[in-house]
Amino acid sequence: MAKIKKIKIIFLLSTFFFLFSAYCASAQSLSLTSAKNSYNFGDSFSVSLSIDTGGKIVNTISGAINIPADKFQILETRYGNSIISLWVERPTINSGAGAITFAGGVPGGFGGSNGPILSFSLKAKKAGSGTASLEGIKVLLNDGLGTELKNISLKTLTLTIKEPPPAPKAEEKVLPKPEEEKPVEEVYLPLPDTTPPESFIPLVSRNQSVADNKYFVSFFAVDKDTGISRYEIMEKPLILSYITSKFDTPFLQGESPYVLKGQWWSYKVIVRVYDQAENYTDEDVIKPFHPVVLVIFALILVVSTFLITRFASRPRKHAKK
Amino acid sequence: MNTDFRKIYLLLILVFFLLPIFSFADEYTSDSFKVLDPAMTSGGSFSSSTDFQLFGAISQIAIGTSTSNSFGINTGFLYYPYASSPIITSATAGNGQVTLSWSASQGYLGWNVSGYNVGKSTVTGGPYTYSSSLGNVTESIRTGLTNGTTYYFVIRAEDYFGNSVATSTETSAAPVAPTPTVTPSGGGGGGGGGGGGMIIAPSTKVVLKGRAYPDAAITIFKDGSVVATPKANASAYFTEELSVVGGTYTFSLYAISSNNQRSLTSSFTVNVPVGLTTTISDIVIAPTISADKYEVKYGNDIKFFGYAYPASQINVIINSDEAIADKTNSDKFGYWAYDLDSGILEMGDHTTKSQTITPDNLKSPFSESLGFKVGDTDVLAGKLPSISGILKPAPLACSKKGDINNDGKINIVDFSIMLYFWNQRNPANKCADINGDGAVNLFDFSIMLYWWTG
Repeated sequence: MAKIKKIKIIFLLSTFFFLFSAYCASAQSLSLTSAKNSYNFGDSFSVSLSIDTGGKIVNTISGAINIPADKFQILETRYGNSIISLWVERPTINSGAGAITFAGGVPGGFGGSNGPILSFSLKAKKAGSGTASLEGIKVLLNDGLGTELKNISLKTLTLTIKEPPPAPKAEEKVLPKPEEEKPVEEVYLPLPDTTPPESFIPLVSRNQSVADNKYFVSFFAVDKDTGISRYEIMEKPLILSYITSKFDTPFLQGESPYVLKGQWWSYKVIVRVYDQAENYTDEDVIKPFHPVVLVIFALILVVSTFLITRFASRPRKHAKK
Repeated sequence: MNTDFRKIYLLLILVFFLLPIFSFADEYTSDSFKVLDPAMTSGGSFSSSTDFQLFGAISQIAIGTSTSNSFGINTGFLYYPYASSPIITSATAGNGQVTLSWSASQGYLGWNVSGYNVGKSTVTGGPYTYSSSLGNVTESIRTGLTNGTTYYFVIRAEDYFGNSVATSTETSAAPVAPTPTVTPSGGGGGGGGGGGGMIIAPSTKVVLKGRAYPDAAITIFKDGSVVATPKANASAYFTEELSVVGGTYTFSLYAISSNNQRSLTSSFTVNVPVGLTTTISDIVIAPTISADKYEVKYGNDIKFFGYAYPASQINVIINSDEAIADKTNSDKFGYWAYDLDSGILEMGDHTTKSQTITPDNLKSPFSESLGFKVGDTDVLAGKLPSISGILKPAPLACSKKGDINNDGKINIVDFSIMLYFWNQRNPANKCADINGDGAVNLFDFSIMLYWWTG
């Protein structure tokens, strides 16, 4: 009988424990993580920002990561392999202020406990302790209303940088023993990026409110490694480009929406997207003739047909005589 | 005088007409055979369309080779074109490869050797698998081989048209892995690598499987761009296989039912490892939902209906001060309907949403929340307001879903237009401010992403 009572108590306690542990379950949070907590002076290493949505579905995130500029040098950011596929503001490094700002979203939303957002590489440049923190974070729910996700816990990352080895004194002429090697600066960085951005579909359209109804091209590409760095656009006029490349525009850097330089003629618009490692992918789309140009063509055709038939019919009249 | 000339003319014409009758071909013989009663034929030989056009060739029973460099046609059965065999001079084994070199083959009597290919087999004597033409070279490195396996090679000489004209004798070689070298610690592992590399790069795939509604048109997008538009079959199942590079992807799906209603988008973010196939299965698309009225007169019925997975339980939730939960069933065509007596609700605005529970207990996410009003009159969906004077609010010029350019799609063009007005207060294009709060910012972006069609 006592044994059954014991079992009952254990059962009750464990039920309570599990009930309460549900309250302590992962609520929404953003975390900065790195492979180690302490690095040597001069080491280069990678830090990742990821999100735990606490069981909810979110579709937009923006904010800034603050990194003490005296302790760390920001080398680069990588945001290709991210839950965010449409960047409003691609992760931008502000070296002076020691901050990385970003804003973007994902159609359809993301829900999960470990969603990668971006990663960045730092170089330890001064011994001591430095904390990377998050600021101005806004996370919006995928609910069609843009509701903010409240009570997000922002987990900071504190890193210790060890002192550099003492410089040898000038009087000591002790030759270093062959086995002793100078400590190598350790590098914990990801492999170089050789994957070009994924293929994408640019679209040409017009809208009354955009640049006075001029034709523009919209494009958004995704890269699975370092992330998109910039776009360049070239316009090649149809037909003319076969004869000469004099009328082709050079590759000009631009963002979506990009108002096209050629508004009247028909062009092949080539959009080239570069990732941060300078791999690139080209995609093209045809811009149609402006309706006014088509009307002019039609008029020329009608007038010339009329003139030709008139001219052709004259000699026959002579022959009949 | 004229008549005499005419007679001569006629005679000449007759002669010229009949003359061909008197032309014969020579009979010809050789040591082994002879041709009896040969006829002059306009026969064809080989003609290559890239270099020249053959309008016809007069040849006797023969094989003929024509090349474009010289207009030589060597015809006649007495020609026996011949090419000497190439002789393999060396076969050097390497790491996962064998380097072959051979002496050139000579062509005679019309055959020109223009290329070689290598035949490889793991069994002596063949059958060999041949490489594509290597061109007029006398050396080749065959890679992608397994160390320790003996391979047997032959070299084939080809003529201009790729016909094999001579084959060398067989030679064999086995590639070997190099001996590993020791490198000082601290660097990466040296040597010892290689050895039978993979010939075919493994493909990385994602398979999406699930259920929607019978014959529904499904749109799948990857990271916001449409990648596939499969159709569900009559039993509402769909499956799609996509090739990807590898990495973190967000796949989103929505379905359009046969009455042209669109479901809510379901999204999955997965990390796809390279070289493997990742399957996302048991996806159940949320049901579509519409109502027969925008506004129902208090006490009358309002009908909610839509499409879902066939023969399933449909949970219907009505949000008001007290949430009401009830259920109905979808028929074999996936159609479901639920009649609500508005008398149980308070006057005012309410929303409703539904969810599918399949016969094997898979739950779909909830559908979009459909708004309706309980008021003083019935306002039927799709019909003009009654003449009693209650004006239905004018249809909003701006889409509340983010279709800024009103083309029926919510995609990168709308996003681009939004970016054009980004952070502007009271933008020139009011539709860019989707939630109407006076600014174009992240909140509008979030709403657009929710309704994204791609």
